[in-house]
Amino acid sequence: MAGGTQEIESRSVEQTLELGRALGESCRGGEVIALIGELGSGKSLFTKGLAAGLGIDRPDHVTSPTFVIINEYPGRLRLYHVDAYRLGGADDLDALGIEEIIDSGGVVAVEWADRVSDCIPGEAITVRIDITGDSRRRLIISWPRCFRFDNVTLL
Amino acid sequence: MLILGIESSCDETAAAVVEDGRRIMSNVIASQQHLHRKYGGVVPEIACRAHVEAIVATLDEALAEADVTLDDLDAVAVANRPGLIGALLIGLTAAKSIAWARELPLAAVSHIHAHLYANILNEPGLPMPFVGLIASGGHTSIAICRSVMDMDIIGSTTDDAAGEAFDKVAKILELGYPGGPIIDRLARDGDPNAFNLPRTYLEPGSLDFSFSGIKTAVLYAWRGQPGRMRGTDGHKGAASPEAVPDMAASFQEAVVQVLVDKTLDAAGRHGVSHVAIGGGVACNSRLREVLTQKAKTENITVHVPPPALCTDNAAMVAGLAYHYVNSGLTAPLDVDAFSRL
Repeated sequence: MAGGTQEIESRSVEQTLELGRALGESCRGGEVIALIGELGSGKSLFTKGLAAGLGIDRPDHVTSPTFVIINEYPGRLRLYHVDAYRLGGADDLDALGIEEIIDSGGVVAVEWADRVSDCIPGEAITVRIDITGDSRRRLIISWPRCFRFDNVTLL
Repeated sequence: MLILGIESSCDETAAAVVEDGRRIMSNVIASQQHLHRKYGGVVPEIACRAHVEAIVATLDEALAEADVTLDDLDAVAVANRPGLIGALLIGLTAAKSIAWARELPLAAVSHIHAHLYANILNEPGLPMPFVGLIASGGHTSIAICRSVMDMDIIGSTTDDAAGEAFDKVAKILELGYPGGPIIDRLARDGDPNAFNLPRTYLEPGSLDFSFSGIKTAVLYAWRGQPGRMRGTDGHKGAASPEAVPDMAASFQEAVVQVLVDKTLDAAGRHGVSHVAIGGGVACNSRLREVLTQKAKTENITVHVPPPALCTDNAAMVAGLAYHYVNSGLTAPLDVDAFSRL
């Protein structure tokens, strides 16, 4: 994957949202975004920002998909918010029709993507979130060559 | 009017026969909880398979217990939203099959609306309007019910459901699944002020909820914060088995306080003096206690159904469907299932 990588420190909830929004604004449709990070690291929060960047109505109401596994939101691009937290593995996501969703032309954000790595295409964008302090997070965003993403500067 | 109700939105396969939206003739629930325990939550693929295996026997049992046959039914009802799509589809397909084969009207109702109706089923004289709090592993909503068929959701979670927070905190504390009953039990021996956890109210006047932050706060308090280990209270960063009841109590107190405050705020702002609850979290003993206490000081009456009508069940579906059918709100045989309301 010879695209790019940006490692960036978010110092607040607002900055994490801003990073998500920047990534969302760069999406053209068809992107799969693999979100990796422990409980409470901010994967769903990042997805709220992503939803804002995708032009989704009321992105603050993007809720945790843990219970229903896949939530869908119409916008400039359709967002599929997937949560593999409770899945046994990639087979479970296959059974839910993840391939069709990935091929649908929308943007697919997969939380706990490391649990279903067999379902994640090689050309996926990866967002790894590490907890580095109270409201601080280190985000490592990696993207493939086919994706155009300008490094974000947080003020 | 005899209605057979089916509920399969999550991990319970349930069927019930209810007469005229009031008299529960049977209320059968086949729980899958034991199947999901080792995964720490409901696994959709397992849930769907278990629904398929359980549905026919559950239906048979509901009919037998009510001492009726399919010939006696006047309608079939099912909850077709919100929930796990694959799980909902099993109940929906069963309901459609019976409706088609027996040429019966089909009613497809909202699971949340049905939870609210459980209060009316339990207490037919429940004064309207009332404010209802529905809190479970998948939903956290405040609704206003002006009449049986006139219900509006006026507040919802903006991230995690309350029950989901219980489950995830139980996971952080390594307590097992489902988290709600375990935390409820452990909290009785804990100090609710031992850990200072946030209560998230969102903007002033909001009836929406946010339970994502408290989950993260528990994580910090439990494991210690990278790069900033020294906290102001003695427990911080000191996860020890002895501290489990204290953390359970502190977490539960914070969640309960927000649920109670927002529910009573909703009642106050809508000038309503009756409050009802539903969903698995409505079984939480501390929620029942605090809600009842606080409501009393505001001259609000709290209505609490028994646990069997709080958690997922099909009697609430069959009961509500009576009013759907009476209002001519039947569903076509190609009606779909929806994960969201």
